[in-house]
Amino acid sequence: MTKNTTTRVRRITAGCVMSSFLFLSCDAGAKGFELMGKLDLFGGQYFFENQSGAFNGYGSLDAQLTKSYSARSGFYISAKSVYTGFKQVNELAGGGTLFQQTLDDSLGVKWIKRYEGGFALKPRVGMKNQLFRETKDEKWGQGLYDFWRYEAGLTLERKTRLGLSTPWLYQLSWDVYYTRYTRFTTLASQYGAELSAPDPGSRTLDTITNQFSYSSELDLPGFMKAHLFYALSVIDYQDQRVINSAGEYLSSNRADYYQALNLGLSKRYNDMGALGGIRPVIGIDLGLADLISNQNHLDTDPQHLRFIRAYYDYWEARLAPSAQFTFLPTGLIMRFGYEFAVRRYPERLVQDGDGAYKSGRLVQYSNSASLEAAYPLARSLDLKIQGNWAASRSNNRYEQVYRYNYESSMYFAGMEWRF
Amino acid sequence: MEVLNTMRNYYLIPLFFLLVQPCRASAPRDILLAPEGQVEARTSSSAMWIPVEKNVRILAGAEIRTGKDSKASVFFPDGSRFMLGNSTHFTVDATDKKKTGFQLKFGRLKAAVAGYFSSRFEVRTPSAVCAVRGTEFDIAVADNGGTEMNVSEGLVEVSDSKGSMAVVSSEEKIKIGAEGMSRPETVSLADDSARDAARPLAVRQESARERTRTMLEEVRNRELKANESQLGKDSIDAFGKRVRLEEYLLRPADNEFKLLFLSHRVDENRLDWGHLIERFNSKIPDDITQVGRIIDGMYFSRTAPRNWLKYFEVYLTNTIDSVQESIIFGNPTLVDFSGYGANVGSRYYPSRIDYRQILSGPGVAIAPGAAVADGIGTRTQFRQIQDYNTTVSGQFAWRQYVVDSVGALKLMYAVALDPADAANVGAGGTQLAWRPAIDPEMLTPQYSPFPSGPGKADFFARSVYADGSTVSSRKLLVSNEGEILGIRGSAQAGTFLRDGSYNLEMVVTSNLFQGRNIDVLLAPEILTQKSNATSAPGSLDLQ
Repeated sequence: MTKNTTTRVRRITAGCVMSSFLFLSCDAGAKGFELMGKLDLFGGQYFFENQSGAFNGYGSLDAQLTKSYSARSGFYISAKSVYTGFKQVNELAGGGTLFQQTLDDSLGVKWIKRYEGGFALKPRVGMKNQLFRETKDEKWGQGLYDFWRYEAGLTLERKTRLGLSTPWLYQLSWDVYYTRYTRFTTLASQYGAELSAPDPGSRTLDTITNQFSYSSELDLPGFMKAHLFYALSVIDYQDQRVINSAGEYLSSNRADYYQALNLGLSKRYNDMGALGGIRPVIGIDLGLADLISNQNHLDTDPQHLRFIRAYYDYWEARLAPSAQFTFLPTGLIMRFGYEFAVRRYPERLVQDGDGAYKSGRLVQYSNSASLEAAYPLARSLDLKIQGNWAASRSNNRYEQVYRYNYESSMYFAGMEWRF
Repeated sequence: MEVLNTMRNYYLIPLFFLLVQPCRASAPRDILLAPEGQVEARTSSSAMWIPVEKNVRILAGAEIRTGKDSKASVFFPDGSRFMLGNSTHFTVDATDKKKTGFQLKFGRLKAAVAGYFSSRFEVRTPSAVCAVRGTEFDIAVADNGGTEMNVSEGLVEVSDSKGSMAVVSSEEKIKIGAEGMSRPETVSLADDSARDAARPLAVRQESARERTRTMLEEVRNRELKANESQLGKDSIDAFGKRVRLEEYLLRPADNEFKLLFLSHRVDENRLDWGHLIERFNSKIPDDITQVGRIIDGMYFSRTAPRNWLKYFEVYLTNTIDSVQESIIFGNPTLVDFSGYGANVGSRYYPSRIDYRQILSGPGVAIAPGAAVADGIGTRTQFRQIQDYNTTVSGQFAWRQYVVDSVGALKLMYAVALDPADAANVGAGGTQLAWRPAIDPEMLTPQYSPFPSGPGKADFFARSVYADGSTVSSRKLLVSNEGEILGIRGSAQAGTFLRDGSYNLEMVVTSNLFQGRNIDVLLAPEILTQKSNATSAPGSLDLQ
């Protein structure tokens, strides 16, 4: 992409988001339109092992403009713009840099059509643009992993009951995502012809994902809520060719199947008498996921040449208890979260410190904890602070290009205004 | 330390919130009654009814009744409120923090409950108990005690006298009579109590569900990026520039493989690339992982190797200038190595190892002694030939050639070594020739070999030749973050031959490159293989 094109794309993105906000603010008062959302302004910092990133800002504007024509139909436009000046612990820290800034803009519209009997159809379209700066001299719009995502979806919803006691809402959804990494093409595709390089494909990260999902929400007696979510995703890589054991790239492209199952339960308990009244909500989430891919990997390191079939396949289990305490006299809300996850790659061999392959298969354990406090300064204005800590441990000792064993943490603090 | 300080401060803030709480713990729990029309109240069931004409505070035990065409509002300090309809009888049972209870004996009540006034917030009717979660609903009680409830938004837990319980959610209605409760029903979309399709709370919930689904795609995007890093395809060099790396394996012939490595600096749109070629005497297995064993077997093998390396080449270029290092191997021959120890005996070893360093580029074209084609000059700058039983009978001989003052390759140094003679091995062989006038070691002015200072894996080597040409190389071990590895002592050439957890960055420059350099990130093992083949006399590793 030329510089002019990149600039134009950025202007269009900014224009889309800005014009939607202008539209929101101009028409919010018009009959039938309702504007809502929140504005977050935070500062924060990221830590990786014994290194610390610079203190930087985080700003997020998340708004929805809703319009109902009747009880039967309506729509809403959602727009979100986020600037993150520091890295976050969920950014797979072992593989990246300490420095990272992102700009994230998205725009979507969803139509809601309701029918008698609790049925509803909800089609949607949207797009998203994410820009990265990962070295200090990298310019916005020049990030290697900048991408555009175009998405559409259709949800069939039914609100009914499970027996006499329990309201039950379930949704069947199909979502399609086309992700295009505007600046990422393989070097072989750019320069390979004159070097007699093989053809691994050009836009090897571009994907079309078809995701089919089912979700259920149950409001159980005793102030309990349960949810279930299952998704099957078929991810077609548009131009990433499958490699074989001889290092040859076949004519077939990579395709992954990913499925995820999440189960969650939460319960609101009676208020505790301490400190003028504390309302606890305790929850637990269980997640299972697996990925099956037809892509393999050939390690071309001269000392450790190795072909690994089904290199990307994995399964994962996750357990995440959480607790929320609302201090009734002040309205202070404190949330604690913990997550333990294990991911096992059934075919990926572990390596020792100097890269030699061993017979074991790679396993990654991760622990993370979060603490968040929100203190209401005014009716719609909260003072918020959040801290996250994460640790990753693995039986893989080869960390030349990626860290498998590390600790990272971050904090941010600031204000949230809801409107 | 900075981390600890920051974290310590960070943990203090929630503590602050906890400490300030008791100041507001005594917030008033007053419930206010605001009458409109004919409204009466009494403090208990045995007290007299008193007309209420202005806002009054009500306490547990109070009863309120509204007349025909009258209504009343009840306000709570947490923002909750009840709207009592006409001809309604309402009582306040309890208002403490653990349980707040009311009774609607007959009439209508419309409620909007924030949910923070107390732990359990209940409204009783003659036939039902409604526990509220944070809700908008309305209740009507008929003269016979039958209750009808509509929940506009939120959830209400309803119990009847038969012991049944149901959670009633948004846009649902339920009837409870003496015979128990009916099954809750979704209100018709044509009903006045049906809410807007895109009302704020519904949109908020729908947005949350959509985020859950989209999150999977977000995670996949992150993982794609992480996979590129795991495969070493994205790094930062020692100078802070992002470098993309790709390596490809090619099999030009069944006895040969080629590794192609590309380094691209995005910011400068600069490509440096190179290749490693290994060509063998006969067919090598499809499984390239066995190649290492073949190479190991050609040095000091007790038995005749079945296959061996014939040609090795490392080529590095910035697409304009290049440096090529090639090695041609002779067939393995049996050598008596008893000078290294009686138990070593005879081993197979390459009969000849011919190493050349060749520079090329437009700047080389104007150097003396260069072969020129299409404006690109090529010149061998350095050559070392190691042979056995050829130059000197029964002995190894090493001959080193460098360019002289007119760019011609001339013998600079020669040494012979008898591997069967322990004394000769101990002395490092016998010098046959040396021309200091063209020896770069003698011609190169002093320089600092440690650009980053001692304690860093950053080593610089430079050679000045008799014709004034220079060749220098800088080697750095850098992390993915571009940080130079800290080491004990000072870096040496051997520092960069070890496998490790860092990338090897190699910067090659020459005054024949007209101000350009070649800057590549590559696997340290490539240098290891070259080093094995070009060992100096006396350093042959027979362990």
